[in-house]
Amino acid sequence: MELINNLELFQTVFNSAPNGIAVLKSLYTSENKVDDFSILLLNTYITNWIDDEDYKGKRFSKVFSKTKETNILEQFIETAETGITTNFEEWYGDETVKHCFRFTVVKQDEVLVVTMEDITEKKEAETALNNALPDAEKQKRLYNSIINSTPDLVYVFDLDYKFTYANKALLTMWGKTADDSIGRRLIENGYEDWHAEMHEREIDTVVAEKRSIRGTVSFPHAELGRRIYDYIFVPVFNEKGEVELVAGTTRDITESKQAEEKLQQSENRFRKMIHQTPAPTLVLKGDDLVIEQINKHMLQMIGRGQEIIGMRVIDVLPELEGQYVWEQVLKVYNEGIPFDQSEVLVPHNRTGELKNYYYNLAYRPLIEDGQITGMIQVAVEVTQQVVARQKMEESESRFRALVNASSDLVYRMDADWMIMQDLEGDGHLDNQKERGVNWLDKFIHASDLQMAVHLISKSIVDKSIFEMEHRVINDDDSLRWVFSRVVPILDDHNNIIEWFGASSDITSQKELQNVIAESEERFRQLADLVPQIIWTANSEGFVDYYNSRWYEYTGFDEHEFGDSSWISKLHADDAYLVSKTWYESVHAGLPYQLEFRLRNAKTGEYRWFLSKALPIKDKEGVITNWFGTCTDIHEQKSITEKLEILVADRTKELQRSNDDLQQFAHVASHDLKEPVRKIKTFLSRLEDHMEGQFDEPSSRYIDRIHVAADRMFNMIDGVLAYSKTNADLQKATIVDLNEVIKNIETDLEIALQQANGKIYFEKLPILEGAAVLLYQLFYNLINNSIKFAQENIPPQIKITATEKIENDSKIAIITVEDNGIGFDFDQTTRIFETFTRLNSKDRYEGTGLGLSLCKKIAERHGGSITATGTVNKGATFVITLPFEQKIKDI
Amino acid sequence: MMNKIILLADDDWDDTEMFCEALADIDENIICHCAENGDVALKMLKDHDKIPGIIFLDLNMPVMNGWECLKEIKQDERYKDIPVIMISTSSHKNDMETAASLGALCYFVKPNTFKDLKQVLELITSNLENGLKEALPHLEKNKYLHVFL
Repeated sequence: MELINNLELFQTVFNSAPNGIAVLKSLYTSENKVDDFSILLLNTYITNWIDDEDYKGKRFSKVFSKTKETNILEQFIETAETGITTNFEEWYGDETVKHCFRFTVVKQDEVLVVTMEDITEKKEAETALNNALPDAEKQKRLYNSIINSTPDLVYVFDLDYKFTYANKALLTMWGKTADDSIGRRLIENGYEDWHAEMHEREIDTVVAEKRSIRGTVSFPHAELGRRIYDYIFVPVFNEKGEVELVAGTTRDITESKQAEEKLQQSENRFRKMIHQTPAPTLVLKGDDLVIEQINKHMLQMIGRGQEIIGMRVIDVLPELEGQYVWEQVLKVYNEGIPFDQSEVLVPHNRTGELKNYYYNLAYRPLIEDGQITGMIQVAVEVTQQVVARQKMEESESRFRALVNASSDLVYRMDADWMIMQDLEGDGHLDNQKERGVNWLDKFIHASDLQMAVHLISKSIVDKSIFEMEHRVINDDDSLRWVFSRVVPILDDHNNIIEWFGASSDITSQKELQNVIAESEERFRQLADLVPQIIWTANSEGFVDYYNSRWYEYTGFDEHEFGDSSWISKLHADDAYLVSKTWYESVHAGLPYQLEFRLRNAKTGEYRWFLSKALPIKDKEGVITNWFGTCTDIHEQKSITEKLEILVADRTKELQRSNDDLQQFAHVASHDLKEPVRKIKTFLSRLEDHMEGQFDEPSSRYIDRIHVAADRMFNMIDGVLAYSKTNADLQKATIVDLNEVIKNIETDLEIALQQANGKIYFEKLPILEGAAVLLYQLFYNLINNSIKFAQENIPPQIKITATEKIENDSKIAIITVEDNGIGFDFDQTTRIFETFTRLNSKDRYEGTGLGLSLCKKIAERHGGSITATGTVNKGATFVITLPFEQKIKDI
Repeated sequence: MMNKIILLADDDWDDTEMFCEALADIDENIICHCAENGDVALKMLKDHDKIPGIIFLDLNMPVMNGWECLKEIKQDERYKDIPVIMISTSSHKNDMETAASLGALCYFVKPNTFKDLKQVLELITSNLENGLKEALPHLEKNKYLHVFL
């Protein structure tokens, strides 16, 4: 009672209550029914809830507006009306937060006391539990049905190795019921000792090591007999993490095991087969086409060892990439189409270098479970056969080509030349109908038959090749020429099995030959008509034909040709030169011409011949042979020779006489001069001796003797000079005439001085000539001019020059003009004659040789000299001289 | 002592006579040996002990002419150093060349007058003591003499 009286205490208790307490007062409607409440008191718990301190006196429905959706109010009303205490649960809150409260409503007088307990969690747990239960039930049911419907065995052991659970399958296997088996150990359930032992040990392991264990075992099934099982034991942990149970499943893998074994077996068989087969075989597996199996033959074939097993085949044989055969491999694998082909060319590297090999190939896809898993390849090498066949084909085609190129017809005959079969060619042996024909009858013209028979027999006997040119009558009875060549084919014992023959039509060649022969014959006849020796030689210079003239002259044998047939007939002195010149011509391809002596067989004498030869060329300009003649020129040669000898002799004589003359002149002058000198000498001695004792006439006489003697001297000198210039050959040099005149000026200085004479000259030419002679020429002229000066008129000598072109050569024209006594017009030519003097001996000394010498000199130079004169006026000499001397000896 | 022996080879008796006369006029002490030809001249050389101081050779001589004799002299050890003068009636370039090439000292043309002969000979003989070679430049002045050096 204390509690109630103490309001504070009461309030404290009231407000600290863990539940919500509300004191409500009923509100009545007009009908005196309760429809709402007025809040008298709320404890802290609730006030926290509503977040409204100012609640006192407020309507409940207002403050707890959310109760509208609930029947909380109704319950309150019920209690308020009935006065019966109610307990009910109700959810309260908004969308987000809902709480479940347990309301206890008590009426106390006019007041309702509501207590609310938050039972949300409890409710939730309850709900969950309620939900869980059916779920658990459901799961259990599901679990059971699975466990019991699976063919696999499911079971649980406790730590005592007792079965705590066994599913239907297991029970079936045991052939027991659950009651019979649950709670029992393995052995009790029919397991063999060893089996049970094994499992119990395993259970121990699972418990101890807290891990699963897997194994395979066989067990006699009650219905199915002995089966193989694959089992797994797993630990079941309690909360503490300890193993409290061991659960296990077991699967009957008998079928699959059997299947596996079968597969294994078949695989083994397959493997064995692969390795035992003699054909190189290869098994590829997988998209990568890895080499799974390969027998030793295949290894050999690709030149590798066992190490390639497991490698991708394309890695082992990279050279296959891109090849036709690889395409086929891929095709077989991808499309499953078997591949067979023979003599496939596969270049690959067997020995270290890439070579061509030929194989007969068979590829088959390996299909497992409807899927292509790989392929098997079998390859048989046929390289040799293929190569051999190719070679044969090649040689055959070559043979065919050869036959077609060389012959018109190729045929076979039996050993006796009886049956003929056409082998190739355009078959003049047309049709098979023609078989069984005798070669002779078919082929040989009657006229050639005998010869043919003879040759055939010989061939048969000697086992030699038969060759013959013969005529054949065509179907239209025309004739043609054929060249037949038949070769015997011998067996191992050297017996003739058959004959192979080839024939070519040579009609046109034969005709040509005939034409040539005819033309040759005509040539020969012609050649033998002419009087000259005619000969021909081949392109090498080998003389291969002479006309009959040759044989008549040389007396040689008609069948001699070549070097031996003619060189020996030459004169010994000529032989070397002739053969050398001839072969030089042949090699150079140039026309040949030479004179030499040939021995006349009849008379034994050597006669001179002129031999000429010309090369005969074909269309391309290549020399095919030489055509030559030899003409007897003996007469002419002799004459020429004789002439030459004569000339030589004469020349020698001339030279000799010239020399003699020279010598003579020299000696003569010397010897002639000698006595003259003596005369003078002794005359002078006489004069000395008789000094002063001569009377006038005597002195005069002596003077005259001196003069005469001097004359003699001059004459002799002149003649000598003349003869010398005549004889000696002077060498032509470049002569500057200006220099020459200068020298003459110097040499005639005294004479010029004495005569008070002058020489004028300018721009005289420089030309080729003999310096000495030219000097002499001009000296004589100038000397003359001085000598023949007019009395009391100093001699003026003018020398000028011009030039002209005559017959392509340049000629110098030099004019020497003086003012001397001149000469008569009609003496013009005479003055150049030897020893001709126009004046008396006494008045003008001179030999009379001077001008003739000038003329001689001018002529020796190939020039000329002419003179014009006017009496008592002067003389003009014109000298022409060529600039160039063709012959350098003048 | 001065060598006053002269050897002359000339086949012309008149010339020889004149020569000796001229020499005698110039110097009486000069001994002149006269040979008719080259052969005799060589013999004389051998026979006489004394070597002549000078040899005159005429060109044209029988048996052995001047050239041959000159050759012989020049080949002989004993005589090759004796000065040789060629004399002739004519002066031909060829002859002068030959004389020079064979080793003659000089060449002169027989003068026409006695006076001229004496003049030449005087020139030559007066230089005998001096050594003719050295005197030759002087000799060249004479128109008859052609000197080779």
